[in-house]
Amino acid sequence: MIELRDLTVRYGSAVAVDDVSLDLPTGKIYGLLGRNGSGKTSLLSALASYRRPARGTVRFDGADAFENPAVMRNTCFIRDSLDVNDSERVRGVLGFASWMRPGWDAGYAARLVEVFELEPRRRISALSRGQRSALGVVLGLASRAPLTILDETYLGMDAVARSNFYRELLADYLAHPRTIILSTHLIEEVADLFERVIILDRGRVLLHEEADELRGRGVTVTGPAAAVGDFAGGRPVLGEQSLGGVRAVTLDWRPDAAEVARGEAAGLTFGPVGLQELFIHLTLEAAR
Amino acid sequence: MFDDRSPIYLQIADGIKNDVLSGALKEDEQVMSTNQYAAFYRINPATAAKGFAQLVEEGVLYKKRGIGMFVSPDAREKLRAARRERFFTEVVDPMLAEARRVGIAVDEIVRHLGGAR
Amino acid sequence: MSVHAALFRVYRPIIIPFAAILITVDLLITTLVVVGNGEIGFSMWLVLAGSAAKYWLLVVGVMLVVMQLRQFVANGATRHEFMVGAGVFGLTMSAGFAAVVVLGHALEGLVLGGSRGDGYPVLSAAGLLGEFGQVFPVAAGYLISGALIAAGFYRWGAWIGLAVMVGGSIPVGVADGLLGVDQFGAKAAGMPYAAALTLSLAATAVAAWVFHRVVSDVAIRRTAG
Repeated sequence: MIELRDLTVRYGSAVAVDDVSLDLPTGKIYGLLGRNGSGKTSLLSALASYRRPARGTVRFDGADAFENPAVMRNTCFIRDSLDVNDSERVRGVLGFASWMRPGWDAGYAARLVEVFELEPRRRISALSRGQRSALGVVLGLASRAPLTILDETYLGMDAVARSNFYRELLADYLAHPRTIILSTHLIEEVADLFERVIILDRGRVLLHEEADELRGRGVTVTGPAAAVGDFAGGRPVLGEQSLGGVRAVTLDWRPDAAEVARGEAAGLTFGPVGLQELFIHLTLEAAR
Repeated sequence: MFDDRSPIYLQIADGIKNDVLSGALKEDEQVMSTNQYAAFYRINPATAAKGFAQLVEEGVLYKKRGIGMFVSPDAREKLRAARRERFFTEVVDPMLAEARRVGIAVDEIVRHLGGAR
Repeated sequence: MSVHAALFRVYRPIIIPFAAILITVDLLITTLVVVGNGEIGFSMWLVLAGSAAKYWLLVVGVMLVVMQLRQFVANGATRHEFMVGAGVFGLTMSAGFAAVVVLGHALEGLVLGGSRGDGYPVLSAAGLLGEFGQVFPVAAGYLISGALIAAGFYRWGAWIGLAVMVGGSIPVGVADGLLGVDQFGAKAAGMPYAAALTLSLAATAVAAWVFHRVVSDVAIRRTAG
């Protein structure tokens, strides 16, 4: 179990992570969602001991994580900036990882290099954005670290490469279960892989739930303005739009079959709220 | 493959139930393991497991320890019976409501059904 | 693999070409001087290798912070493990370089033979150890200064980094000032060896302690500041 308690990360006077407490059972795939500047990277930096929190603790099975050799050895944090030196070559970077990472699988790394079409002899400075992302993925997956964190690394890859990544990630997770945290804003693409979703907004946890519970959480109700208003009643509103006499309202609520029938009889239509839409509405709502 | 309308595990359960009803999955036949299902449909295995657990609870699947999940011997009949029960409330009543909305009389419907007998 | 073993593997491909260039340049210039002058009245090796030992180690100290710290933490080492491993690596490198300087000096004297001019510092067997005893602490001083100055910039950025640079240069100033070896051999700095060595080691040790404080909880950033 990974426990974050009262975690606060500050940059000077700016608070990036604001008093966050989370319990993260190990062995799951987590999706960490949030707008740019919501504190995702700062949270993950503290989790990986890359940054000491201003306040609060990070504990792995009760042991404090910061500068803890056993914890850090088993943590692999791959971030967008890719912590490699520009003068090195791809094979040098992978070689170094093989020296240092106890669980490193060189054969698997070699296969992934082929899948993502990386050139081992190329220098880091000569890699395209997609190739840098691919290298990050190879480093993250082949490390087989019990806690693997991929912070928006794969966003630089094209759609085909990303699809390959999701396939490889799932296959390796099935074969070697471990804790994986993916931070992303490409929600729709990867949401099916998450077991749990954590949404961060301006340094605070907006929600932490099973991914599947979020699906079918909300509903959009469209129709004549008055009827929509009646039907929505006192339900929590996530967003709304009006055009002429027609109103569309997104509610944080799920009507049962009878309520749907009643609504349809009154001339209303119902639609689903996708995860990405829900995320947008929840974070906009929180901003209000 | 799966849409946003409802939790994926329910969609999985519904998908397997449809396969049992249509005969694509036979009684006492082994179904894919949760890992195979997850890999095939590119979803989290815990979600697949939840769908399977739902089906075990409903008696559609049963588990043989160490081997896997199998379709219950009476699954098809049970599902058909349940669907029959819900047929009028879930299929016929909404159809009648729609007919009222667009101005089709019940007699018209009866005439149409007469042709299908 | 341990941190120091990994560091040796990382720097190995740099050391050999570096040494080769050093020896080549030394032979070239010494030959030119001897051919032109008939003799050489100072140790070219002490000039070149002596300077190289110092400045190269300064650069290694900087690179350890600017390039290797991030690399090692990103591959699962703690900052503490890195510093210990880098310390072992650094001391070994300093000793190794000092040995190369001293042995090269002895070899140079033998090879030059008759071409040795009046001022040439001839190295006796006893002198070997003494010279090593001076070059080694100086080399270590340069290494820790490089590392500490780089750490100051890495943690605090340009302005505070410059301030740290002042204090960070003390090991170099003390060690080189008191124990430095010039082209004419051991420099008598007016202070008995034991005292000079103690001061030099003390300055180095204090710098190492400060370095440890700066790095032990530093945020792992992509670049300095």
